[in-house]
Amino acid sequence: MPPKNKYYDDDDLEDYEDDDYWDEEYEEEAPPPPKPSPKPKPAPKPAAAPAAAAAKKLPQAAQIKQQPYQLVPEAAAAAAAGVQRFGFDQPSPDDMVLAAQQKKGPGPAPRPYNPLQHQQQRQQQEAAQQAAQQAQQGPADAALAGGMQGLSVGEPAAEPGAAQAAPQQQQQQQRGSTSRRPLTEYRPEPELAAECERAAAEEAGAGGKPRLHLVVLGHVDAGKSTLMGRMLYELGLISEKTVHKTQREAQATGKGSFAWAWMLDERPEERARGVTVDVAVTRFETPGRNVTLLDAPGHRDFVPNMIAGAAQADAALLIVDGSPGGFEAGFEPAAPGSAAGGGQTREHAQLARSLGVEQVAVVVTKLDTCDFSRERFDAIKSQLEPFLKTCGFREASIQWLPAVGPTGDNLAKPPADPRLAAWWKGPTLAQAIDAFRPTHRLLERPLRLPVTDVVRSGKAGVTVGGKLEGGALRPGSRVLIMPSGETSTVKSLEVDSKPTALARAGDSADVTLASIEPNVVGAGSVLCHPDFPVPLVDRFEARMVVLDVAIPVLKGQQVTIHAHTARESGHISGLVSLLNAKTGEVQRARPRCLLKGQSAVVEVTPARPLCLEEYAAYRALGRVALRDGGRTIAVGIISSLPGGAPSSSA
Amino acid sequence: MKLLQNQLTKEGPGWVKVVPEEGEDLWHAYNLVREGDRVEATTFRKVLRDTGTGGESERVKLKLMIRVEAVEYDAEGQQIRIKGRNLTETEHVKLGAYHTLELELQRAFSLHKDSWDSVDVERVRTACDPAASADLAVLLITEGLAHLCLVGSTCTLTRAKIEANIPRKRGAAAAGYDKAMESFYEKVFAAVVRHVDWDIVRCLVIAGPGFAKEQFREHLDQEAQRREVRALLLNRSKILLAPASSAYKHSIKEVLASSAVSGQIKDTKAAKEVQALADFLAMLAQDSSRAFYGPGHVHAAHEMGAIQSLLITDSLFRTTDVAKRKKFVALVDEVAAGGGEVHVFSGMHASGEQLNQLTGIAATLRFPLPDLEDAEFEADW
Repeated sequence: MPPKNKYYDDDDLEDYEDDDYWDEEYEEEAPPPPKPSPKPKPAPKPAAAPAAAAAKKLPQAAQIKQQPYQLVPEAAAAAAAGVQRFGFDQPSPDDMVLAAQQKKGPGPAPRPYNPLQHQQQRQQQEAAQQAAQQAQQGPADAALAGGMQGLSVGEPAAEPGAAQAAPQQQQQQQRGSTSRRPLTEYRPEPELAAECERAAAEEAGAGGKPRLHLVVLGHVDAGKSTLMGRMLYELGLISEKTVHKTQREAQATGKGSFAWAWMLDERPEERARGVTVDVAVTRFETPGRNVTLLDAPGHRDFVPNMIAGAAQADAALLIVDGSPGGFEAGFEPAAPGSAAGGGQTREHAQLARSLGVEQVAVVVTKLDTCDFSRERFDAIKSQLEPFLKTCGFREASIQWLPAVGPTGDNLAKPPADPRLAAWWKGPTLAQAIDAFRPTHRLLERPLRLPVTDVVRSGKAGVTVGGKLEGGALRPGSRVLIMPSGETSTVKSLEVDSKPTALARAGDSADVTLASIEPNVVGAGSVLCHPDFPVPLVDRFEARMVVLDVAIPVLKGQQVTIHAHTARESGHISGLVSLLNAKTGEVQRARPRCLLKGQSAVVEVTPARPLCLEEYAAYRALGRVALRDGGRTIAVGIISSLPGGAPSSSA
Repeated sequence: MKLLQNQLTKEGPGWVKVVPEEGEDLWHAYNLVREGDRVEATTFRKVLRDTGTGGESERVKLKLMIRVEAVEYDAEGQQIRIKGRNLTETEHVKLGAYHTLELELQRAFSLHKDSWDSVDVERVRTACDPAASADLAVLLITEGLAHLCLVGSTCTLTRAKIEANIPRKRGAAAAGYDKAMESFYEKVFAAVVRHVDWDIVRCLVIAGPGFAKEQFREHLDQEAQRREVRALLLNRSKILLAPASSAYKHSIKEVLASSAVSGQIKDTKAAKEVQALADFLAMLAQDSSRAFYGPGHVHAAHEMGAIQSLLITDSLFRTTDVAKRKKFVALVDEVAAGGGEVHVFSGMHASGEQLNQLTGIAATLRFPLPDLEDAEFEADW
C-alpha cells in the first residue's frame, strides 16, 4: 500500500477540490453549443446553373481571394521591371487563415452531411470549371480535368505529359478559385526566376542533359541491385579495383553471386542477408540523361521504403525474374485468406503508378537460366502487359527488354551472348533509359520539398535531403518547415553531391538549414515557401481504388497512410460514396463496405496531422496509398481537405 | 480487483466494496460507475476554518459518499475522478456540495447502484477473477520508430513511443547511420528496462518489419550482460520475436494473431477479441448478407433471431442514456440466452478501437438476410 497522501499536495487540492472549479468548468460545457444554421439544405435544384452552385459553395472567401488576384498583374509588372516591391496587396498568412475560417465557419456544419449532395456539388463545380477550362485552353487541359474526374488508378491517360508542358498560367487561375490557398498568386522572386532561366538555358545548351529520377522495382531477388551494380560498372562509374575488392569480400563470405549487388547495398545487414533494405540513391549519366537512380528494396517488409523512393521517381524500371518459376513467384496474386499479399511485382507496379510514375521499362533478367529462350520472354510479356494496363500504364509508355546482370548483357552495349543477340534487336538498357521523357520542372509553383532524409545535424545546421517537387531554392532563401511551423534560412545547397547556387524543381538536393533544432524536421516534413504554406490536415477525403484485399475495407479500418515521403498511422473514418470504376459516377452513398476492385471516396483520419495538398492543386503532394498488415489495400488521390488545417504559421 | 464485501441482486439494488489492484481494475471501475450511482471512498478536502483572525485552510481526511454526475478516466495516470454531490453528513462538507473523489490503486471504494444488470454483474465477476489477468509486453520496432505497449486482459497501454531520425545510407552520412541507430536502440533499451515489470509480464514480444527486431534483440542481450541488468538476464527465455508489418500500434493485432505468440496467450481476452473480429471480417468478405454492423442492422437481425455471435464494445454500455443502455443489455442477454456467442470488447484494445469506429456493434448471423443489406437506418438509431 503506497503511503497515503502520496499523490497529493496542496496545489492539487486547490485545483480539484474547489467546488467552483468544477462548477465553472461544467457549466461552460453544459449548454449545447448553438447549432450553426439548420441542417445543410442541400443541392440547389439539380438543373440550377452550375456556376451558381460553385458560388454557393464558396461564400465570402471567394470574393476575398479574388480581389488580390486581380491586383497581381500590377505586382508582376513591378517585378518585371526588376523592382521587388511588396504592395501589401496580397493577403498575409493571417488573412488567409481568417478567410479559410470564415469560409468554414458560417457555412453548413460539416457533419452530418449528405455525401450524395456533396458529390453533386463537387461535380457541378468541376463541370463548371471544366467547361471554363475547355473554353480557354483547348483539349489538352480538358483531358486533364476529365482525367481528374474519372480518375481511377485503373484508368489510363490521366495525366498526359503534354498537359503539364502546356501554358499553366490560365489553368492555375482557374483552379485558384477552388483551391484553399491561392497558389496561383505565386510569382517566383525575380532573382530566383532569372537564375532558373539561366540554368534552363545552360541545360538546353550543348553540355546539359535532362534530369531523370529512375526507380528500380521488382520482386525480392529479381536481381534489381545486381543489375544496377553492373550497370554502374558498364558506365564506368565503378573502378576495376573496387570491383575486385568487392568480389573478393563477397566470395570470402560465400556470397559470390551478390558481388554486383554489394555495389549498392552497403549496409552490413544488407550484405549479410543479401537483401536490399533501404533505397540506395546513386547518380549516373547515360548518353542522353542525367539519371538519379533509386534502387528500391523488393522484400515485402520494406515496401514502405520503396514507396518513399517511388514517390520521387519520374520513371521506373520493373525488373522481372525470367528464370523458371521466378516470374511466377513474383507475380502470383494474393492468396485468399493468407496474411501476405501477392508477389511484389504486382504491388510495386500498382503503387508506382498510383505514386505518379507514368513510364516503365520492364527488364526481364536471368534469361541465361533458360537458355535465352525467346518464348519465355514473350510469355512473360503476354502475361504482364494486360496487368500493367489495368494498373494505368499506357501501352506506349511501356518498354520491354531482356538483360543479364552478372554478365552485363544488353546493359550499356548490345548483347554479347550470341544466343540473345540472335533474336534481340531492341534497345539496350541505356537506350531504354534515354527513351524516357524527362518530367517537366514545376517552377511556376511555390516551393515544396518533401524531406526523405535528415542527412546530418550538428552545429553547422541541419542538412535534409529530398526532391524539389516545385519551385526553386537558393542559399539565403527563407523556407517554412511543416508540420513544425518553424522558419529557417537555406545556408547551403548540394545537388549531385556538389555545392551549388541553385536547386530547381526536379532536382534532388541536400539542403542545409541554419539555426534550427534537429527535431523540427524529419522524414515526411515538407519545406515550403513561407507565404504559401502547405496545408496541414487532420482529415481528408480521397478517391481511391481498393486493390486485391482479402477482407473488405470497412469504416474504422486502421491503416498506415503513405503520401509523398510521409507515413503515419491512421484510420478510415468514413466511406463517403461508392463510385463507378469506369465513369466515376456515384453509385451509392455511404456503402457498408468496399470490396476489391471497387472505387470509392473515403475519408481518412491520420493519427497526427499530415502535410497534404489536393491533387488538383499540387499533384506530387496529393497522392496517397493505404497499407495494412503488410499489403497495400487502396491507392488514390486526395479530392478534398475538409479537415480545416490548424496552421502553425498563423 | 479484490472483492471485500458485496450484496448484489441481479436487476435489483445492491453494492460492492472493492480494492483496485492494478491498472486494469481501474478500467473495470470506470466501466461500472455511471451517472446516478453512489460511490463511497476515502478522500481529502481542504476545509476553511475560521480562527477569528482570518480563514485558515486545512486538509481533512474524510469518508464521503457522493451521487455521481461525471466520471473521468486517466489511463496513463492510473486514476479515476468522480464528480458529484455529497450525500454524507459531516461537519466539514455540506450536504449537496460538490466534491470530486479520486479512485486510485490500492484504495478501497464501494459502489451502490439501484439496479445491477447482467453486464455489470459479469464485469464485477471477471474483474475479481485473479486468473484472468495476463500481461504481455509488446515492443514494436522498426528503424527510427518504436512503440512499447503492455497488453492486459482489457487494456492496451502505450508505455513508450520512441522516434528518431535515421539517415539513409549513402555518401558521407554512412557513418551517421550507425551512430543514429545506436542511440535509438539505447533509448528503446532504457524504455524496456523501465517499463517492463517481469513480475507481471508473461513475455516480451519484439515485433516489427525487417531486421530491426533481430538487431535490437542482439543489442538487448549485449547491453543486459554489459550492465548486468539481472531482470533481463533471468528472463531471457521470455523474450520472443514475431513478424509485424509496421511499428504502429495497430500492428499489435498481427502480433496477437501470430502463432509464436498466440500459444502463450491463447486464452486471454485480447487474443479472443482479435479472433472474433477477424471472423466477422472474413464473414463479411465471404457472404455480406451474413455479417452486419451498426445498431440498426444488428437489432433488426436480432429480431429475427439470426445472431450467431455478437461483438459489442464496452463503450456502448458507458452511455448516460439509461434507456439505450437497457436496450443493449437486453440484446446481450437475449443473444446469450438464444445460444449465441457474445464478445464484449474492451475499448482499450486495438481491436476494440476498430470496432468502436465501426459503430461499436457488429454481428455474424446464422443464416443470410439479404433484404437487410439494402435497408437504411438512421445513423444514431
